Amino acid sequence: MNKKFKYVFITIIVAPLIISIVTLVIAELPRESSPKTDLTFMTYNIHFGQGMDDLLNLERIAQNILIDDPDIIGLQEVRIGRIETQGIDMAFWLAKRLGMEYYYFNPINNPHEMGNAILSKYPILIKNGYELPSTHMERTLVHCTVEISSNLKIDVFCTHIGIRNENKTAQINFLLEKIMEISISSKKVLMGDFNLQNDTLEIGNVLTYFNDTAEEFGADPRASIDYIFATGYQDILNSHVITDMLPNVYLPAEYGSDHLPVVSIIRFPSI
Amino acid sequence: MKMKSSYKGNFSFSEIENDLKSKPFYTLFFNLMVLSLFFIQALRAYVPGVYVAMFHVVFGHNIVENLLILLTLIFFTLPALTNTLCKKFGIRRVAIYSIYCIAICRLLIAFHLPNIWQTILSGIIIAIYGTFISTILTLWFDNDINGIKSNNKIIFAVFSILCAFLLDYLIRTIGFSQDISLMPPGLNAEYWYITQYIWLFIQIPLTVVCIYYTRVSFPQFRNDASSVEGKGKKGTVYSLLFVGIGMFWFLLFNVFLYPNIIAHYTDSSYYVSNIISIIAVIISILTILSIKKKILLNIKVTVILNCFMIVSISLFLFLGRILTYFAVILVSISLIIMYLNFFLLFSRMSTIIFKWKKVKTISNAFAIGLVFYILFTVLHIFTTDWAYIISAFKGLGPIIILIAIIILSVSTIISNRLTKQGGKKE
Repeated sequence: MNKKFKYVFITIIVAPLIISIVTLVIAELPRESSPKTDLTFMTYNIHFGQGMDDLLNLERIAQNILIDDPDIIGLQEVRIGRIETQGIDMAFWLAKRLGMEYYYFNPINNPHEMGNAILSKYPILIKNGYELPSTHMERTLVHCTVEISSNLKIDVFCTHIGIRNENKTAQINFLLEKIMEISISSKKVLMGDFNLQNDTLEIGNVLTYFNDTAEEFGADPRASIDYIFATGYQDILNSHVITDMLPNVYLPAEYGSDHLPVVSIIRFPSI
Repeated sequence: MKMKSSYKGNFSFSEIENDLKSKPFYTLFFNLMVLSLFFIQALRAYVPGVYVAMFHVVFGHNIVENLLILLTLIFFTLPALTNTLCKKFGIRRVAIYSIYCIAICRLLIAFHLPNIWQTILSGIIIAIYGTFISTILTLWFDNDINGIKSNNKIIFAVFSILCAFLLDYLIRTIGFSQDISLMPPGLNAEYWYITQYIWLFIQIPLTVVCIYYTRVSFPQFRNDASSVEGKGKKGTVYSLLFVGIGMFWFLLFNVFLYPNIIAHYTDSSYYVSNIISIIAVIISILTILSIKKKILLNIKVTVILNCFMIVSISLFLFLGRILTYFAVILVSISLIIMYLNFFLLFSRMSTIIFKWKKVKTISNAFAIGLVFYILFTVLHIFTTDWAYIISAFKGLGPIIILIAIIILSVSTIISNRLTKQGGKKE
């Protein structure tokens, strides 16, 4: 082997190994977030990372999220390492990109089914996933207890309710029972894609335990099926839907998903 | 010392470089590696493209337009037409134009075209790669001026293809598991139109170098006109070897190419599983370059390795979350065996004597492999992601993977037996 080819050979062999070790080291670097009581929550159905132009682009999803730089995010329609999405672990990728901790859960019986994830800038103390009763596609409820400070812990839930009417009531009842059973704090946030409009019986059922954070901010009850519900909070400072990703640009390419991110800024009592 | 030398292969890059001359040697290596990388990227992008289109069909959006994407499956039969093209235009010209075509199609994809066009272009790259690989190997293998052993040429070709896998790992590692060509940097209202095309800064030089060096220093092979027809006979058993190559693609592109999925099945870290997967490719390359092929062809060795692979993958699929990192190591060893199986099948495919010309043998092998790749991918999707459509298929995903592993193993063992029998007769 001549010298020139030897260098080419060694570079091709060694470069992936070195880069993979460097990424491992970077991933292990510690991150810190300062404690606060006004927290920004976001729920976003990311549609497997495929935007309105059908193209897969997680960076675009990250950019859509960064418009409001949320502290805690609930993601739906997340895939991990499947051929249909080029083998990308979306929850992991977005968590690394946004510098957050994460927990992902998909149905136990069918790990290929889409799942939900919670991403948090603050440490996740408890993480659990549950399957919702379903006769069609398996759906899940993800639960994380997030520690904002030593005095403030919040139970965060993320779900994606099925599209078939016969499953919706059972799924809502199951998740409400589960939430009451497993919560360790009185401060709870439930968010996700409910596939239900605001005036339905099922959402009415949710509202007996939670408040719709968008209600005071003039949200059209028929405009969204993505919600952020909360209880145990002090005040809701803002709630809105991010509709324009790039000001003055009107392209399908600016939307990372077929859903829009819903954001609520909630103030919690510190004790 | 004596033992060591009896295992050591006699492959030498210098021998090939001296035979081809320096520039053509680098052109051949670069083309084989870069076009294989484009093929890997296209094969990874094709199924998601079809998947999105089918999603639209299910929800009733642009049904005709999206169903048209299914027609791209016809492309997969195109490699089988390579021999006809060679008869009409000459094998050298077909080889050169297939390089241009793949390089340009990959460049077009980098322009962030709509999904339907990206899928069509990916399909074209996959099909034409079959033409490229069959023509280039035929040209080179039939060109035996200085008596370079065909075995060394096969080792060089497989080395280049495995280097493409390493490059693919590198690209995905930099992108934290996402292919960086999918990742335009941040949206910015002012620079949006420019930044989404940043991958072009990498793709344009790659395409230009591919085309330029092919024009300037494509190797001058002696038997450029056409290869001679073989005197062997057709045999259905040989088709199994081609199916084995399809299974190799299926297993890699559905599960084992992705450290994410290995990490998920085993409840382990992506980073660790990524490093171990890269080490597996490196060990495979070093094994192919340094160990005598005779050892890999030994039936006992092949049977032991493949049985180990089947047991390891079974443990990974059914007990992965209990065995965690032990399962990751088992998968990595299985990955090495898979790459070695690919090497053995590829060598058999390249040296097989059929009634057909070599170019037809290789291109048909490629087309049969692709058809089985698609067949098993569809089966896998209906037993996993789309299992809710036919509930009887639910939970059968691991069984499909195991069947594919068994077919890959059986085809490798049969291939080795045939090679040994062939060797004895000669």
